[in-house]
Amino acid sequence: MKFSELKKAVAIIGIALFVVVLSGCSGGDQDQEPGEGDQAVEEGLESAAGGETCASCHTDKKKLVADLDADPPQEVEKSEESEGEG
Amino acid sequence: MEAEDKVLVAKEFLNTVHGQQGCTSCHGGVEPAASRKEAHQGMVAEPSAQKDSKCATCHADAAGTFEMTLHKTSRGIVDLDTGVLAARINPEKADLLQKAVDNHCASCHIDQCGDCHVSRPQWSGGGLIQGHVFQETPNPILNCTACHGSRVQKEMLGQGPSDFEPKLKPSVHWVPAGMQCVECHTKEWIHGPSTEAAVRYEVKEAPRCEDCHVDDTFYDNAYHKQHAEADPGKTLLQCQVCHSQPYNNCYGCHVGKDDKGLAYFKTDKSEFDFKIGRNPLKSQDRPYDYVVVRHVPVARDTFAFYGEDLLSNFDASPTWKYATPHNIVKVAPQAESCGSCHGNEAIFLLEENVAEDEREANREVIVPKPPPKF
Repeated sequence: MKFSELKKAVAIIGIALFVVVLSGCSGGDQDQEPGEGDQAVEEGLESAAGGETCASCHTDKKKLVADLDADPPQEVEKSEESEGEG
Repeated sequence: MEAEDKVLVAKEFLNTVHGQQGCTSCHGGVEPAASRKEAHQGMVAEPSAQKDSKCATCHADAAGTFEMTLHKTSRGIVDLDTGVLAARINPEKADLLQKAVDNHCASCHIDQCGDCHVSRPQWSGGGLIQGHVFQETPNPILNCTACHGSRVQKEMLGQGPSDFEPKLKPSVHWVPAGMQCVECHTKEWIHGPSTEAAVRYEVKEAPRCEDCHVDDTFYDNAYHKQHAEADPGKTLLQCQVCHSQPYNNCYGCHVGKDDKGLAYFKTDKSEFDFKIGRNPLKSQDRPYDYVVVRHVPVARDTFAFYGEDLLSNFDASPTWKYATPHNIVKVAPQAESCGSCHGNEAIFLLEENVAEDEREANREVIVPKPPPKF
């Protein structure tokens, strides 16, 4: 085989491999069920009607801290006289 | 656990089967909302505690029968007709005793599916585990021993007084085996109705060492042949007699209410000890002659705050109880050789080890004559 033919063969194989890799990646994406991707997360975090959703607060630690600092929850009062192992 | 961490939801949860139901479908409340107050209107923090909760929609078997389990009802403790106090009570003062039990003993129970599968039990402060991602198997530390701490956790992890001799080891089921609690305490047992059982040792599906450990070679071991084979003329021992280490015992629990009307308890002491006694629960399922016994915290005047003589039949039930410590090792100190047990009076529950006031209650458990030296 001439050197120029060998270069051509290598180039063709290289392109073929590249195509296979690309198709493999997109195939993986297609396996994902609707609603399982980042889109679903975003849908849970944002509301089309405006205002906060449950998830937009409860997945954001900073928001929770600020909210709980501003309005601390009532602690369940327990007797301080208990002693020993329960 | 900080307050914000208790309610912090992982974004990954939103992609799970449960997460995709939508928060309000289980918790109610208002979404979207302009404020926390608005969002939490009508919100149910622990939806699985509701009767006919949504859990049953898909998990009908488990959710349905769980309502009747000992974990849910706590009847082993709070039912004065069938529970652990039944034999001791003064029937004429049962109302006073029920009030005391309701105030002090009834809060210790699993109220809902979420206590094991979503968060730490509410009884121990709650708080989401894994950011609300549902866990099929409860976490041994965060769930199970969050309640069963002072005995089971210490035993399983080999914890105890730092100066205790011999040094306590973790259970072989934990290190190196790394077993989960549910491998012995199966979901059938935890979820099962167990309606026939008044107390935990009556549950048919209760764990049995024999289920895993007795095979064709079991009786090749000379100790097993001598002490684990049901054969007339042989002394039958509970597995823990040879395989468990010292464990926690509690004494003298007294309950009352403080100046604010809040319930409290005080125990006289807790101490690690190991005692072999005669089997107070001998039955077809537990045919052992000798078993490990643990002192339970009840005292003659435990409920004196609520009235005199509420446990007028105190002596009708032992205070040293059949026990199944979780600190199992292959060779415990008392089983290193025949002489580690035979002639070793320190490991037997003798009359002198029992408080004078409790000797009558423990008459059937006390060992009158420990095995002599070879």
